[in-house]
Amino acid sequence: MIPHRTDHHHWNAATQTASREQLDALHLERIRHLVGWAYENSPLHRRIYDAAGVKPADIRTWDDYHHRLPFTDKPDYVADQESGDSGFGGVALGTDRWQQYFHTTGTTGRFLNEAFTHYEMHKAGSQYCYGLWDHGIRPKDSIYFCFDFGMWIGLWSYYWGARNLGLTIISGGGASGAQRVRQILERRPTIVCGTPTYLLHLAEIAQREGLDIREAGVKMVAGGGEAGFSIPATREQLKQAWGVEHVYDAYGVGEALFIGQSCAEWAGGVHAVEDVCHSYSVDPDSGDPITASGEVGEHVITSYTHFAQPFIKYRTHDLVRIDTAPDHGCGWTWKHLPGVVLGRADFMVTIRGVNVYPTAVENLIGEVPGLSNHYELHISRVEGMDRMLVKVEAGPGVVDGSGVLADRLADHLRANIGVRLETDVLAPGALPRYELKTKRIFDSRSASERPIATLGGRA
Amino acid sequence: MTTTDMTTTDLTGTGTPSVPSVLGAEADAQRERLVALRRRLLAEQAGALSPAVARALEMADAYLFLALGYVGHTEELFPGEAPGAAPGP
Repeated sequence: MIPHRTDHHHWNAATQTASREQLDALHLERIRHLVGWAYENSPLHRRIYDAAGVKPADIRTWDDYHHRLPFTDKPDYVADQESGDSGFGGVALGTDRWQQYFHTTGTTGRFLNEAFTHYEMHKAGSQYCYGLWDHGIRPKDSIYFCFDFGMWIGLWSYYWGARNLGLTIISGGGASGAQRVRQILERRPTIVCGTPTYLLHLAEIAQREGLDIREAGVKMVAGGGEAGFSIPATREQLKQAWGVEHVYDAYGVGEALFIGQSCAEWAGGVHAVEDVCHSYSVDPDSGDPITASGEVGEHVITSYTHFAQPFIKYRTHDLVRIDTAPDHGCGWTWKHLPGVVLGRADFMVTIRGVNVYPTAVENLIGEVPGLSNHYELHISRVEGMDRMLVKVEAGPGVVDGSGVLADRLADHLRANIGVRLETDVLAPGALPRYELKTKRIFDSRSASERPIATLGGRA
Repeated sequence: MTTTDMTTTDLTGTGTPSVPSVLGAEADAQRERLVALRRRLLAEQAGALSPAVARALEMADAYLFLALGYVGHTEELFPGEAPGAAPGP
Protein backbone atom coordinates (compact mmCIF):
# COMPACT_ATOMS: atom_id res chain seq x y z
CA MET A 1 0.00 0.00 0.00
CA ILE A 2 1.29 3.45 -0.91
CA PRO A 3 1.43 5.58 2.26
CA HIS A 4 -0.85 8.61 2.48
CA ARG A 5 0.79 11.91 1.61
CA THR A 6 0.16 13.67 4.88
CA ASP A 7 2.90 16.30 4.58
CA HIS A 8 1.10 18.63 2.18
CA HIS A 9 -0.35 21.74 3.75
CA HIS A 10 -3.31 21.99 1.35
CA TRP A 11 -5.64 19.23 0.23
CA ASN A 12 -5.40 20.32 -3.41
CA ALA A 13 -3.06 23.28 -3.83
CA ALA A 14 -3.43 23.27 -7.63
CA THR A 15 -6.87 24.84 -7.37
CA GLN A 16 -6.99 25.91 -3.72
CA THR A 17 -4.19 28.43 -4.22
CA ALA A 18 -4.77 29.22 -7.90
CA SER A 19 -5.14 32.83 -9.01
CA ARG A 20 -8.55 34.40 -9.45
CA GLU A 21 -7.99 34.50 -13.21
CA GLN A 22 -7.21 30.77 -13.29
CA LEU A 23 -10.21 29.91 -11.15
CA ASP A 24 -12.58 32.06 -13.18
CA ALA A 25 -11.36 30.47 -16.40
CA LEU A 26 -12.17 27.01 -15.01
CA HIS A 27 -15.54 28.19 -13.71
CA LEU A 28 -16.60 29.66 -17.02
CA GLU A 29 -15.64 26.52 -18.90
CA ARG A 30 -17.56 24.32 -16.44
CA ILE A 31 -20.61 26.59 -16.40
CA ARG A 32 -20.81 26.70 -20.20
CA HIS A 33 -20.58 22.94 -20.34
CA LEU A 34 -23.17 22.52 -17.59
CA VAL A 35 -25.65 24.90 -19.24
CA GLY A 36 -25.37 22.82 -22.42
CA TRP A 37 -25.92 19.61 -20.47
CA ALA A 38 -28.95 20.98 -18.67
CA TYR A 39 -30.49 22.40 -21.84
CA GLU A 40 -30.19 19.09 -23.65
CA ASN A 41 -31.28 16.82 -20.81
CA SER A 42 -33.48 18.67 -18.33
CA PRO A 43 -36.93 19.69 -19.61
CA LEU A 44 -37.18 22.23 -16.79
CA HIS A 45 -33.97 23.99 -17.81
CA ARG A 46 -34.88 23.92 -21.48
CA ARG A 47 -38.22 25.58 -20.68
CA ILE A 48 -36.54 28.25 -18.54
CA TYR A 49 -33.84 29.00 -21.11
CA ASP A 50 -36.25 28.96 -24.05
CA ALA A 51 -38.57 31.34 -22.20
CA ALA A 52 -35.61 33.69 -21.77
CA GLY A 53 -34.63 33.29 -25.42
CA VAL A 54 -31.22 31.91 -24.46
CA LYS A 55 -29.37 29.00 -26.04
CA PRO A 56 -26.27 27.42 -24.48
CA ALA A 57 -24.08 28.80 -27.28
CA ASP A 58 -25.08 32.31 -26.17
CA ILE A 59 -23.28 31.88 -22.85
CA ARG A 60 -19.66 32.63 -23.69
CA THR A 61 -18.56 35.30 -21.24
CA TRP A 62 -19.16 36.31 -17.64
CA ASP A 63 -21.31 39.12 -18.90
CA ASP A 64 -23.52 36.51 -20.63
CA TYR A 65 -23.70 34.44 -17.46
CA HIS A 66 -24.57 37.39 -15.26
CA HIS A 67 -26.98 39.20 -17.54
CA ARG A 68 -28.37 36.77 -20.14
CA LEU A 69 -28.70 33.43 -18.37
CA PRO A 70 -31.85 33.36 -16.21
CA PHE A 71 -31.77 32.54 -12.51
CA THR A 72 -33.29 29.35 -11.20
CA ASP A 73 -35.05 29.08 -7.86
CA LYS A 74 -36.54 26.48 -5.56
CA PRO A 75 -40.14 27.12 -6.70
CA ASP A 76 -39.09 26.18 -10.25
CA TYR A 77 -37.98 22.77 -9.01
CA VAL A 78 -40.92 22.27 -6.66
CA ALA A 79 -43.42 23.08 -9.43
CA ASP A 80 -41.62 20.67 -11.76
CA GLN A 81 -41.52 18.05 -9.00
CA GLU A 82 -45.27 18.31 -8.48
CA SER A 83 -46.21 18.32 -12.15
CA GLY A 84 -44.08 15.40 -13.31
CA ASP A 85 -44.37 11.67 -12.85
CA SER A 86 -40.97 11.16 -11.24
CA GLY A 87 -41.66 13.28 -8.15
CA PHE A 88 -38.39 15.12 -8.74
CA GLY A 89 -37.80 18.54 -10.29
CA GLY A 90 -35.20 19.56 -12.86
CA VAL A 91 -34.07 16.02 -13.56
CA ALA A 92 -31.49 15.50 -16.34
CA LEU A 93 -30.61 11.81 -15.89
CA GLY A 94 -32.84 8.74 -15.83
CA THR A 95 -33.64 6.91 -12.63
CA ASP A 96 -31.50 3.98 -13.79
CA ARG A 97 -28.47 6.16 -13.02
CA TRP A 98 -29.59 7.30 -9.55
CA GLN A 99 -28.10 5.61 -6.53
CA GLN A 100 -29.81 7.36 -3.65
CA TYR A 101 -32.34 10.06 -3.05
CA PHE A 102 -33.11 12.44 -0.21
CA HIS A 103 -35.05 15.54 0.55
CA THR A 104 -34.24 18.90 2.06
CA THR A 105 -35.54 19.77 5.52
CA GLY A 106 -38.40 21.78 4.13
CA THR A 107 -37.79 24.63 6.58
CA THR A 108 -38.62 27.16 3.87
CA GLY A 109 -41.78 25.42 2.72
CA ARG A 110 -42.10 22.22 0.72
CA PHE A 111 -39.60 19.40 0.70
CA LEU A 112 -37.41 19.35 -2.36
CA ASN A 113 -36.56 15.83 -3.47
CA GLU A 114 -32.97 15.29 -4.55
CA ALA A 115 -31.43 12.50 -6.62
CA PHE A 116 -27.77 11.50 -6.59
CA THR A 117 -25.63 9.20 -8.66
CA HIS A 118 -22.74 7.33 -7.09
CA TYR A 119 -20.21 9.77 -8.51
CA GLU A 120 -22.16 12.79 -7.29
CA MET A 121 -22.14 11.54 -3.71
CA HIS A 122 -18.37 11.16 -3.80
CA LYS A 123 -17.91 14.52 -5.48
CA ALA A 124 -20.14 16.15 -2.86
CA GLY A 125 -18.16 14.41 -0.13
CA SER A 126 -14.91 15.81 -1.50
CA GLN A 127 -15.91 19.31 -0.44
CA TYR A 128 -15.21 18.53 3.22
CA CYS A 129 -11.66 17.39 2.66
CA TYR A 130 -10.17 20.85 2.01
CA GLY A 131 -11.13 22.28 5.39
CA LEU A 132 -10.70 19.17 7.50
CA TRP A 133 -7.24 18.65 6.04
CA ASP A 134 -6.37 22.28 6.79
CA HIS A 135 -7.32 21.67 10.43
CA GLY A 136 -4.84 18.81 10.58
CA ILE A 137 -7.35 15.97 10.21
CA ARG A 138 -5.71 12.98 8.51
CA PRO A 139 -6.82 9.50 7.39
CA LYS A 140 -5.71 7.98 10.72
CA ASP A 141 -8.38 10.04 12.49
CA SER A 142 -11.98 9.12 13.30
CA ILE A 143 -15.41 10.73 13.34
CA TYR A 144 -18.48 9.99 15.44
CA PHE A 145 -21.90 10.80 13.97
CA CYS A 146 -24.71 11.86 16.32
CA PHE A 147 -27.12 11.20 13.52
CA ASP A 148 -29.86 8.79 12.57
CA PHE A 149 -29.39 8.25 8.86
CA GLY A 150 -32.78 9.25 7.52
CA MET A 151 -34.00 11.12 4.45
CA TRP A 152 -32.55 14.49 5.48
CA ILE A 153 -29.50 14.95 3.34
CA GLY A 154 -27.47 17.22 5.63
CA LEU A 155 -25.14 14.96 7.56
CA TRP A 156 -25.16 12.20 4.94
CA SER A 157 -22.82 14.36 2.91
CA TYR A 158 -20.54 14.66 5.94
CA TYR A 159 -20.43 10.89 5.94
CA TRP A 160 -19.40 10.89 2.28
CA GLY A 161 -16.73 13.45 3.15
CA ALA A 162 -15.40 11.26 5.95
CA ARG A 163 -15.19 8.31 3.57
CA ASN A 164 -13.52 10.48 0.96
CA LEU A 165 -10.84 11.66 3.37
CA GLY A 166 -10.35 8.16 4.75
CA LEU A 167 -11.55 8.66 8.32
CA THR A 168 -12.70 5.85 10.55
CA ILE A 169 -16.45 6.20 10.93
CA ILE A 170 -18.29 5.54 14.17
CA SER A 171 -22.06 5.66 13.87
CA GLY A 172 -24.12 6.91 16.78
CA GLY A 173 -27.36 6.19 14.94
CA GLY A 174 -30.26 4.78 16.90
CA ALA A 175 -28.70 5.55 20.27
CA SER A 176 -30.02 7.73 23.08
CA GLY A 177 -28.13 10.81 24.21
CA ALA A 178 -26.73 9.02 27.27
CA GLN A 179 -25.66 6.06 25.13
CA ARG A 180 -23.92 8.41 22.74
CA VAL A 181 -22.04 10.08 25.57
CA ARG A 182 -20.78 6.68 26.73
CA GLN A 183 -19.86 5.62 23.19
CA ILE A 184 -17.88 8.82 22.69
CA LEU A 185 -16.03 8.35 25.97
CA GLU A 186 -15.28 4.75 25.03
CA ARG A 187 -14.32 5.24 21.35
CA ARG A 188 -12.52 8.58 21.78
CA PRO A 189 -13.16 9.89 18.24
CA THR A 190 -11.11 12.74 16.80
CA ILE A 191 -14.26 14.51 15.58
CA VAL A 192 -17.83 14.49 16.83
CA CYS A 193 -20.39 15.52 14.24
CA GLY A 194 -23.85 16.92 14.99
CA THR A 195 -25.79 20.15 15.09
CA PRO A 196 -24.32 22.75 17.49
CA THR A 197 -27.43 22.69 19.66
CA TYR A 198 -27.36 18.93 19.92
CA LEU A 199 -23.65 18.90 20.76
CA LEU A 200 -24.27 21.31 23.63
CA HIS A 201 -27.23 19.18 24.66
CA LEU A 202 -24.98 16.09 24.74
CA ALA A 203 -22.54 17.93 27.02
CA GLU A 204 -25.48 18.71 29.33
CA ILE A 205 -26.53 15.05 29.31
CA ALA A 206 -22.98 14.01 30.20
CA GLN A 207 -23.03 16.41 33.13
CA ARG A 208 -26.38 15.00 34.31
CA GLU A 209 -24.95 11.49 34.08
CA GLY A 210 -21.99 12.54 36.20
CA LEU A 211 -19.61 12.18 33.25
CA ASP A 212 -17.11 14.65 31.81
CA ILE A 213 -17.30 14.63 28.01
CA ARG A 214 -13.97 16.49 27.87
CA GLU A 215 -12.26 13.30 29.00
CA ALA A 216 -13.04 11.77 25.60
CA GLY A 217 -10.14 13.75 24.13
CA VAL A 218 -12.19 14.94 21.14
CA LYS A 219 -10.19 17.43 19.05
CA MET A 220 -12.94 18.87 16.88
CA VAL A 221 -16.68 19.32 16.86
CA ALA A 222 -18.30 19.74 13.46
CA GLY A 223 -21.61 19.47 11.68
CA GLY A 224 -24.22 21.90 10.49
CA GLY A 225 -27.91 22.54 10.11
CA GLU A 226 -27.76 25.73 12.16
CA ALA A 227 -25.71 28.92 12.40
CA GLY A 228 -24.06 28.02 15.71
CA PHE A 229 -20.65 27.02 14.35
CA SER A 230 -20.36 30.54 12.89
CA ILE A 231 -21.37 32.37 16.06
CA PRO A 232 -18.41 33.31 18.28
CA ALA A 233 -20.30 32.88 21.56
CA THR A 234 -21.59 29.42 20.58
CA ARG A 235 -18.15 28.41 19.33
CA GLU A 236 -16.70 29.37 22.69
CA GLN A 237 -19.42 27.43 24.54
CA LEU A 238 -18.67 24.36 22.43
CA LYS A 239 -14.95 24.66 23.11
CA GLN A 240 -15.57 24.93 26.82
CA ALA A 241 -18.15 22.16 26.99
CA TRP A 242 -16.16 19.66 24.91
CA GLY A 243 -12.62 20.81 25.64
CA VAL A 244 -11.89 20.82 21.90
CA GLU A 245 -9.21 22.73 19.99
CA HIS A 246 -11.26 23.13 16.83
CA VAL A 247 -14.84 24.09 16.04
CA TYR A 248 -15.38 23.42 12.37
CA ASP A 249 -17.51 25.92 10.53
CA ALA A 250 -19.30 24.91 7.33
CA TYR A 251 -22.07 26.46 5.26
CA GLY A 252 -24.60 24.36 3.46
CA VAL A 253 -27.28 24.95 0.88
CA GLY A 254 -29.81 22.13 0.80
CA GLU A 255 -29.58 21.93 -2.97
CA ALA A 256 -25.78 21.93 -3.20
CA LEU A 257 -24.73 20.66 0.25
CA PHE A 258 -21.87 22.10 2.30
CA ILE A 259 -20.25 24.29 -0.31
CA GLY A 260 -18.58 26.52 2.28
CA GLN A 261 -15.85 25.18 4.56
CA SER A 262 -13.63 26.88 7.10
CA CYS A 263 -9.86 26.96 6.94
CA ALA A 264 -7.86 26.54 10.14
CA GLU A 265 -7.59 30.33 10.53
CA TRP A 266 -11.40 30.55 10.33
CA ALA A 267 -11.33 34.39 10.05
CA GLY A 268 -14.97 34.53 11.03
CA GLY A 269 -16.32 32.61 8.09
CA VAL A 270 -15.98 29.97 5.41
CA HIS A 271 -14.42 29.68 1.99
CA ALA A 272 -16.56 28.77 -1.00
CA VAL A 273 -15.20 25.42 -2.17
CA GLU A 274 -14.56 26.47 -5.73
CA ASP A 275 -13.82 22.94 -6.93
CA VAL A 276 -17.48 22.07 -6.35
CA CYS A 277 -19.35 25.28 -7.09
CA HIS A 278 -19.30 28.77 -8.48
CA SER A 279 -20.38 31.37 -5.96
CA TYR A 280 -21.26 35.03 -6.34
CA SER A 281 -23.80 37.46 -4.98
CA VAL A 282 -26.41 39.74 -6.50
CA ASP A 283 -28.61 42.62 -5.56
CA PRO A 284 -31.85 40.73 -4.86
CA ASP A 285 -33.93 43.49 -6.42
CA SER A 286 -32.08 44.02 -9.69
CA GLY A 287 -30.25 40.69 -9.99
CA ASP A 288 -27.07 42.57 -10.86
CA PRO A 289 -23.80 41.16 -9.50
CA ILE A 290 -22.40 42.73 -6.36
CA THR A 291 -19.04 44.09 -7.43
CA ALA A 292 -17.78 45.72 -4.23
CA SER A 293 -15.94 43.17 -2.10
CA GLY A 294 -17.62 42.97 1.29
CA GLU A 295 -21.01 44.38 0.27
CA VAL A 296 -24.04 42.31 1.23
CA GLY A 297 -25.95 40.49 -1.49
CA GLU A 298 -27.97 37.36 -2.15
CA HIS A 299 -25.84 34.28 -2.68
CA VAL A 300 -26.21 32.63 -6.08
CA ILE A 301 -24.52 29.35 -6.85
CA THR A 302 -23.85 26.89 -9.64
CA SER A 303 -23.14 23.38 -8.41
CA TYR A 304 -20.55 21.05 -9.92
CA THR A 305 -21.77 18.13 -7.83
CA HIS A 306 -25.24 17.87 -9.34
CA PHE A 307 -25.72 16.62 -12.89
CA ALA A 308 -28.69 14.28 -12.45
CA GLN A 309 -30.50 17.37 -11.19
CA PRO A 310 -28.50 20.48 -12.15
CA PHE A 311 -28.56 23.66 -10.07
CA ILE A 312 -27.30 26.51 -12.24
CA LYS A 313 -27.33 30.18 -11.27
CA TYR A 314 -29.52 29.11 -8.38
CA ARG A 315 -30.84 31.67 -5.91
CA THR A 316 -30.15 30.57 -2.35
CA HIS A 317 -31.87 33.59 -0.72
CA ASP A 318 -29.01 33.65 1.78
CA LEU A 319 -27.56 37.10 2.39
CA VAL A 320 -23.78 37.01 2.39
CA ARG A 321 -20.69 39.15 2.11
CA ILE A 322 -18.07 37.78 -0.27
CA ASP A 323 -14.42 38.66 0.03
CA THR A 324 -13.05 37.85 -3.41
CA ALA A 325 -9.40 38.20 -2.38
CA PRO A 326 -9.10 36.85 1.16
CA ASP A 327 -5.76 37.36 2.86
CA HIS A 328 -5.94 35.99 6.38
CA GLY A 329 -2.94 33.72 6.21
CA CYS A 330 -4.38 30.35 5.14
CA GLY A 331 -3.07 30.53 1.59
CA TRP A 332 -6.42 29.64 0.05
CA THR A 333 -7.42 31.94 -2.78
CA TRP A 334 -11.03 30.81 -2.78
CA LYS A 335 -13.68 33.39 -1.98
CA HIS A 336 -14.39 33.91 1.70
CA LEU A 337 -17.77 34.57 3.31
CA PRO A 338 -17.16 36.43 6.58
CA GLY A 339 -20.08 35.96 8.93
CA VAL A 340 -21.27 33.11 6.65
CA VAL A 341 -25.04 33.65 6.32
CA LEU A 342 -26.00 37.10 7.57
CA GLY A 343 -29.70 36.53 7.08
CA ARG A 344 -32.29 35.38 4.64
CA ALA A 345 -33.71 37.64 1.97
CA ASP A 346 -37.06 36.06 2.77
CA PHE A 347 -36.61 36.26 6.58
CA MET A 348 -35.58 39.88 6.58
CA VAL A 349 -37.31 42.01 9.16
CA THR A 350 -37.51 45.77 9.00
CA ILE A 351 -38.37 47.21 12.38
CA ARG A 352 -39.01 50.93 12.57
CA GLY A 353 -36.94 51.44 9.44
CA VAL A 354 -34.00 49.31 10.57
CA ASN A 355 -33.16 46.10 8.74
CA VAL A 356 -32.55 43.40 11.34
CA TYR A 357 -30.56 40.26 10.54
CA PRO A 358 -31.63 37.27 12.62
CA THR A 359 -27.99 36.15 12.67
CA ALA A 360 -26.97 39.46 14.22
CA VAL A 361 -29.53 38.93 16.97
CA GLU A 362 -28.24 35.39 17.53
CA ASN A 363 -24.71 36.71 17.94
CA LEU A 364 -25.76 39.37 20.44
CA ILE A 365 -27.73 36.96 22.65
CA GLY A 366 -24.50 35.11 23.32
CA GLU A 367 -22.89 38.28 24.64
CA VAL A 368 -25.31 38.77 27.55
CA PRO A 369 -24.13 37.04 30.75
CA GLY A 370 -26.74 34.83 32.36
CA LEU A 371 -28.41 33.74 29.13
CA SER A 372 -28.13 30.31 27.52
CA ASN A 373 -27.69 29.46 23.84
CA HIS A 374 -31.28 28.23 23.57
CA TYR A 375 -33.45 30.83 21.91
CA GLU A 376 -36.19 31.43 19.36
CA LEU A 377 -36.97 34.45 17.19
CA HIS A 378 -40.65 35.05 16.50
CA ILE A 379 -41.40 37.36 13.59
CA SER A 380 -44.88 38.74 13.08
CA ARG A 381 -46.71 41.56 11.34
CA VAL A 382 -48.96 43.73 13.50
CA GLU A 383 -50.87 46.64 12.00
CA GLY A 384 -48.57 46.68 9.00
CA MET A 385 -45.37 46.70 11.05
CA ASP A 386 -42.84 43.90 11.41
CA ARG A 387 -42.11 42.80 14.98
CA MET A 388 -39.57 40.44 16.45
CA LEU A 389 -39.91 38.75 19.81
CA VAL A 390 -36.71 37.21 21.16
CA LYS A 391 -37.34 34.28 23.51
CA VAL A 392 -34.28 32.96 25.27
CA GLU A 393 -33.69 30.60 28.15
CA ALA A 394 -31.80 31.77 31.20
CA GLY A 395 -28.55 29.96 31.90
CA PRO A 396 -28.45 26.99 34.31
CA GLY A 397 -29.46 28.05 37.81
CA VAL A 398 -30.40 31.59 36.75
CA VAL A 399 -33.85 32.99 37.57
CA ASP A 400 -35.06 36.19 35.92
CA GLY A 401 -38.11 36.81 38.08
CA SER A 402 -37.97 40.60 37.91
CA GLY A 403 -37.19 40.82 34.21
CA VAL A 404 -33.73 42.28 34.70
CA LEU A 405 -32.15 39.90 32.20
CA ALA A 406 -34.86 40.59 29.61
CA ASP A 407 -34.24 44.33 29.95
CA ARG A 408 -30.50 43.83 29.76
CA LEU A 409 -30.90 41.83 26.55
CA ALA A 410 -33.23 44.45 25.05
CA ASP A 411 -30.71 47.19 25.92
CA HIS A 412 -27.86 45.21 24.41
CA LEU A 413 -29.79 44.59 21.20
CA ARG A 414 -30.78 48.25 20.96
CA ALA A 415 -27.22 49.42 21.53
CA ASN A 416 -25.90 47.21 18.75
CA ILE A 417 -28.73 47.00 16.22
CA GLY A 418 -30.25 50.41 16.76
CA VAL A 419 -33.76 49.30 17.52
CA ARG A 420 -35.51 47.87 20.59
CA LEU A 421 -36.87 44.33 20.16
CA GLU A 422 -39.30 42.54 22.44
CA THR A 423 -37.52 40.12 24.75
CA ASP A 424 -38.69 37.30 26.98
CA VAL A 425 -36.33 35.32 29.22
CA LEU A 426 -37.62 31.85 30.04
CA ALA A 427 -36.67 29.28 32.64
CA PRO A 428 -33.91 26.80 31.71
CA GLY A 429 -35.31 23.89 29.69
CA ALA A 430 -38.46 25.75 28.57
CA LEU A 431 -37.70 25.57 24.85
CA PRO A 432 -37.73 22.31 22.86
CA ARG A 433 -34.52 20.47 21.97
CA TYR A 434 -33.91 18.98 18.54
CA GLU A 435 -31.52 16.28 17.39
CA LEU A 436 -31.37 17.62 13.85
CA LYS A 437 -31.81 21.13 12.59
CA THR A 438 -33.07 23.30 15.44
CA LYS A 439 -36.01 25.51 14.56
CA ARG A 440 -35.01 28.99 15.68
CA ILE A 441 -37.01 31.32 13.51
CA PHE A 442 -40.79 31.37 13.51
CA ASP A 443 -42.13 33.72 10.88
CA SER A 444 -45.90 34.05 11.16
CA ARG A 445 -46.17 36.70 8.45
CA SER A 446 -48.21 35.65 5.45
CA ALA A 447 -46.46 35.14 2.13
CA SER A 448 -47.72 38.51 0.92
CA GLU A 449 -46.37 40.24 4.04
CA ARG A 450 -42.84 38.93 3.63
CA PRO A 451 -40.39 40.88 1.55
CA ILE A 452 -39.89 39.28 -1.85
CA ALA A 453 -36.31 40.43 -1.73
CA THR A 454 -34.52 42.82 0.55
CA LEU A 455 -30.95 43.95 0.45
CA GLY A 456 -30.31 44.21 4.12
CA GLY A 457 -26.69 45.30 4.11
CA ARG A 458 -27.29 48.85 3.10
CA ALA A 459 -29.20 49.84 6.20
CA MET B 1 -13.83 38.87 -12.33
CA THR B 2 -12.47 38.09 -15.74
CA THR B 3 -14.59 38.51 -18.84
CA THR B 4 -12.53 36.19 -20.99
CA ASP B 5 -14.24 34.61 -23.96
CA MET B 6 -13.20 31.03 -23.30
CA THR B 7 -12.58 29.27 -26.57
CA THR B 8 -11.49 25.68 -26.29
CA THR B 9 -8.22 24.70 -27.90
CA ASP B 10 -6.56 21.42 -28.72
CA LEU B 11 -3.69 20.85 -26.33
CA THR B 12 -3.07 17.29 -27.25
CA GLY B 13 -2.86 17.48 -31.02
CA THR B 14 -5.26 14.57 -31.24
CA GLY B 15 -8.24 16.58 -32.36
CA THR B 16 -9.75 16.36 -28.89
CA PRO B 17 -10.66 19.81 -27.63
CA SER B 18 -9.50 20.42 -24.07
CA VAL B 19 -9.37 23.25 -21.60
CA PRO B 20 -6.55 25.73 -22.09
CA SER B 21 -3.65 25.32 -19.72
CA VAL B 22 -4.86 27.22 -16.67
CA LEU B 23 -3.36 25.49 -13.66
CA GLY B 24 0.26 25.27 -14.78
CA ALA B 25 2.55 22.69 -16.29
CA GLU B 26 2.59 20.27 -13.35
CA ALA B 27 -1.21 20.06 -13.16
CA ASP B 28 -1.46 19.82 -16.95
CA ALA B 29 1.01 16.94 -17.02
CA GLN B 30 -0.84 15.01 -14.34
CA ARG B 31 -4.15 15.65 -16.07
CA GLU B 32 -2.81 14.31 -19.35
CA ARG B 33 -1.55 11.16 -17.61
CA LEU B 34 -4.88 10.69 -15.85
CA VAL B 35 -6.81 11.13 -19.11
CA ALA B 36 -4.64 8.43 -20.68
CA LEU B 37 -5.12 6.18 -17.68
CA ARG B 38 -8.87 6.67 -17.89
CA ARG B 39 -8.90 5.81 -21.57
CA ARG B 40 -7.28 2.48 -20.73
CA LEU B 41 -9.66 1.93 -17.83
CA LEU B 42 -12.73 2.51 -20.03
CA ALA B 43 -11.38 0.18 -22.68
CA GLU B 44 -10.91 -2.50 -20.05
CA GLN B 45 -14.42 -1.86 -18.75
CA ALA B 46 -15.86 -2.29 -22.25
CA GLY B 47 -14.19 -5.69 -22.49
CA ALA B 48 -14.93 -6.85 -18.95
CA LEU B 49 -15.34 -10.60 -18.54
CA SER B 50 -18.22 -10.35 -16.10
CA PRO B 51 -20.68 -7.89 -14.59
CA ALA B 52 -18.54 -8.05 -11.47
CA VAL B 53 -15.45 -6.80 -13.26
CA ALA B 54 -17.43 -4.21 -15.21
CA ARG B 55 -19.03 -2.80 -12.10
CA ALA B 56 -15.75 -2.68 -10.20
CA LEU B 57 -14.21 -0.72 -13.07
CA GLU B 58 -17.20 1.63 -13.17
CA MET B 59 -16.60 2.47 -9.55
CA ALA B 60 -12.88 2.87 -10.19
CA ASP B 61 -13.79 5.35 -12.91
CA ALA B 62 -15.78 7.45 -10.45
CA TYR B 63 -12.74 7.76 -8.19
CA LEU B 64 -10.45 8.47 -11.11
CA PHE B 65 -12.80 11.17 -12.27
CA LEU B 66 -12.47 12.88 -8.89
CA ALA B 67 -8.73 13.10 -9.47
CA LEU B 68 -9.31 14.60 -12.90
CA GLY B 69 -11.50 17.29 -11.38
CA TYR B 70 -8.75 18.27 -8.94
CA VAL B 71 -6.39 19.08 -11.82
CA GLY B 72 -8.77 21.15 -13.90
CA HIS B 73 -10.44 18.63 -16.20
CA THR B 74 -13.45 20.28 -17.84
CA GLU B 75 -14.03 18.21 -20.97
CA GLU B 76 -16.66 16.12 -19.24
CA LEU B 77 -18.82 16.95 -16.25
CA PHE B 78 -19.09 13.44 -14.81
CA PRO B 79 -18.33 9.84 -15.75
CA GLY B 80 -20.64 8.53 -18.43
CA GLU B 81 -21.78 11.95 -19.59
CA ALA B 82 -21.00 11.44 -23.26
CA PRO B 83 -23.64 9.56 -25.30
CA GLY B 84 -22.44 6.05 -26.00
CA ALA B 85 -19.83 6.15 -23.26
CA ALA B 86 -19.68 3.42 -20.69
CA PRO B 87 -22.34 4.24 -18.10
CA GLY B 88 -21.02 5.94 -15.01
CA PRO B 89 -21.79 4.44 -11.67
